[in-house]
Amino acid sequence: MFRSTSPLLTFSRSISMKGDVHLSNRRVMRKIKVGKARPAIFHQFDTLIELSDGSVIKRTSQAPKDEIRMINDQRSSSLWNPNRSDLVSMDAAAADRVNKFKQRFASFDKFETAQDKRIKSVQAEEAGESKASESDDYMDLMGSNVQEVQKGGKLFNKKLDKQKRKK
Amino acid sequence: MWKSGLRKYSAAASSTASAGNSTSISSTLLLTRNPVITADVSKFEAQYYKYQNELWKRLMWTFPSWFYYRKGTISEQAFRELNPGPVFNNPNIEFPRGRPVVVHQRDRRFKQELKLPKTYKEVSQEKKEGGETAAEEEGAKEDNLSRQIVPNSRITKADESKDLASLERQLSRTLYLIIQENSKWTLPTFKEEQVAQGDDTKDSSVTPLHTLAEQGLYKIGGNSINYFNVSNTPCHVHKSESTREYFIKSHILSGRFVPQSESIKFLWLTKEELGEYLEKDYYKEIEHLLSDI
Repeated sequence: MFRSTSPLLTFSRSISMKGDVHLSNRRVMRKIKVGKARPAIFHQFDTLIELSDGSVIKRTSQAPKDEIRMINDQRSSSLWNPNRSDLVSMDAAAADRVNKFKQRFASFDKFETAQDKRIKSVQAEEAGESKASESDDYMDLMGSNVQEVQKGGKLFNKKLDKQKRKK
Repeated sequence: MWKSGLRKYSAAASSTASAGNSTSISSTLLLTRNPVITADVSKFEAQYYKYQNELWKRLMWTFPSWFYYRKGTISEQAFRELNPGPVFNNPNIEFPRGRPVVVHQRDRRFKQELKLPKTYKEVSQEKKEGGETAAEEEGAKEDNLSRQIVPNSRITKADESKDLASLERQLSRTLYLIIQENSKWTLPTFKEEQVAQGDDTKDSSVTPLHTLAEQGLYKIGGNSINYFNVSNTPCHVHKSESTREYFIKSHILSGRFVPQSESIKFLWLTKEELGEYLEKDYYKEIEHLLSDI
């Protein structure tokens, strides 16, 4: 409805349909006759795939590989074989990203946990004391007349700046 | 509602429980091993699939080697050496079987057949016949990850030795477990009394049929069977004057049937073979339950 009433839209159409007036920059759509259309069939190779348990599957693939050998698949995964106990050890060394990260930064994790434990034990001992006194413990170690050093500069605050200008 | 169903599908401990009838209820286990490989096709089907496959290959577009092999690389060179281009349309040469139509290194009149570089050394036919050294080398490289992939045989050792008790026979067919009772082959049938004497000493008046079947199976075949029970509802009932045998269907997933006493004989058979071993009337009655594939 809207399209037919607005003249601008009809002019902006660049493809003319059959029976339309042909102007210079307009392309005529070729009509595809019945039985003339061909589906897109990409080149496919017959591929043999050997699964980790030694069984071989035949399938087609567009990639130029006619023999593929799987190392980790559903035949060797504990996820698909919950009753097999011999697979668990293999699965632990899985190459997923979280495990890799954990392996890499395991030492940091240990350090942190040790410190956490120390703090927890201290907290358990001084359960009655308030939080403020706990934070002051380290200041006492530094000696008397010590002031906390401000880290970083003052941040620009939009709201505060506006309020200052108004004043 | 469910209570009535339970009573219907469960064996009664005392004979007076089920409306005063003296019929004994037992559960028969229809334990199947599903096919491992694809079904065998008939000759006509094989021809049909071959024709369709060849037609498909003829209709396939030219392989875009420039997409998969970057120009100037070693893999591209290996591919090019294996697949030399066709004879181009030389105007000075007469082609008695028609002039070639070469586009993208391919004669478009025919299907494109390509060879791919292998991860292993290909042994030619002459070498294989000539020397045994090649075979020895293959044996040494058995664990090599780049060895050639050879499809496994559809016929196993159990097929060759005609071992009917093996689970690794007739890989393309469904197998059914039968056992011998009183020198008569039947599907394993379990009455409740037999099991109740063993470990189940509860005072419950009823035992579900599928539990009965499971207990019976473990008793005769050992615990090393991992099975999947299709339904607690029986799929068939075999009636006689004093007995009602309810059929419980389940699939063996892993493990194997290990007879717990030497007197137990068992076989894994296909549908046709069951017809030879079971009684004729009995087989006719349960024939529709068995799979043709």
